Amino acid sequence: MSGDPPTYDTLSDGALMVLFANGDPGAARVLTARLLPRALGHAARVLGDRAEAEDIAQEAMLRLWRAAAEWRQDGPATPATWLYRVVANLCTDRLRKAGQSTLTDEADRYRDTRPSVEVQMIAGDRMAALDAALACLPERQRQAVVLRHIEGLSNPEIAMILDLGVEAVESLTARGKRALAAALATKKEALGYET
Amino acid sequence: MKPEQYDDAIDQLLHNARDATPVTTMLAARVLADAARVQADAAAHAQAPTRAPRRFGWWSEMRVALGGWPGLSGVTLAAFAGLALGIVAPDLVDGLSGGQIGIWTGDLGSLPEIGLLWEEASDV
Repeated sequence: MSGDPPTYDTLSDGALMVLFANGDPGAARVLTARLLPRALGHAARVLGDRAEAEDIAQEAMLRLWRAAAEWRQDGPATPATWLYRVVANLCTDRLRKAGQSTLTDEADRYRDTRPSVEVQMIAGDRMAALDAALACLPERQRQAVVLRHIEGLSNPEIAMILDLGVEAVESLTARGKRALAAALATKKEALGYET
Repeated sequence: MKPEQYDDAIDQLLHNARDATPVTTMLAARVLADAARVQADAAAHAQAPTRAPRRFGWWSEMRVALGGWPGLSGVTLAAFAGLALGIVAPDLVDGLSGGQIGIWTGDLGSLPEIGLLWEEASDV
């Protein structure tokens, strides 16, 4: 063995994937620190359930580890977008199994706020209210809003993750955010937004 | 609150949501344990010796034709038993064969005598 240990902070996620595939445990730690919070946050906002989101995030990370051996740094996806895509698909599967199947784009209207939203808003928990409002959106729209406005991804990245065209993503995110704002608008006072 | 202020408030709420789900040490430990297991499996797979393809020669084919190891053992045992019997009690073998083996070996011989070959050669 010779040379200094690699400086992980300067390495890209793709380079860390290669190191991981070569058996470097440090690469696993850095990738976990970088990517696990994003996978968990995405799943938590889409599912609205912390425990299920943790299961999804762990499963997505496990698939990432298994994909490391075949990872191509010159491929179209980064590890982050690849992971988001896995999380999105796992969330879709989980919601379908739970009977919360997606609405079509034509049904792209926010539904009436549910009783659970009322309860959560009375408690003054803005984040819980946001989750409840997100849950009112069609699943595809919810994914797009979370990826665009919470995770901060670009529309082309979201298009790759959701397997959609960029224009479709622009439409989904715009309508989704309007629907979200409308769902929360009736509760401005409870949220502390009415002055 | 003006509409634009409300929009800003929604943007802020969405921004805050990004860090609203902290990763617990328990979850991170589970994920790292998975990573270690995947790396260990990959290392074990890489170090596993590659087994050379087995070669089946004439010996193996003959062994199979005789019924495998059990058949081969029976043949070997019979051969040694016959040899031992012939050495230890040749008269018994002669008696059991009704004198036939004695006729062959005594009168005809299993091999011609060398001297006869020379005589035949000189005659020619």
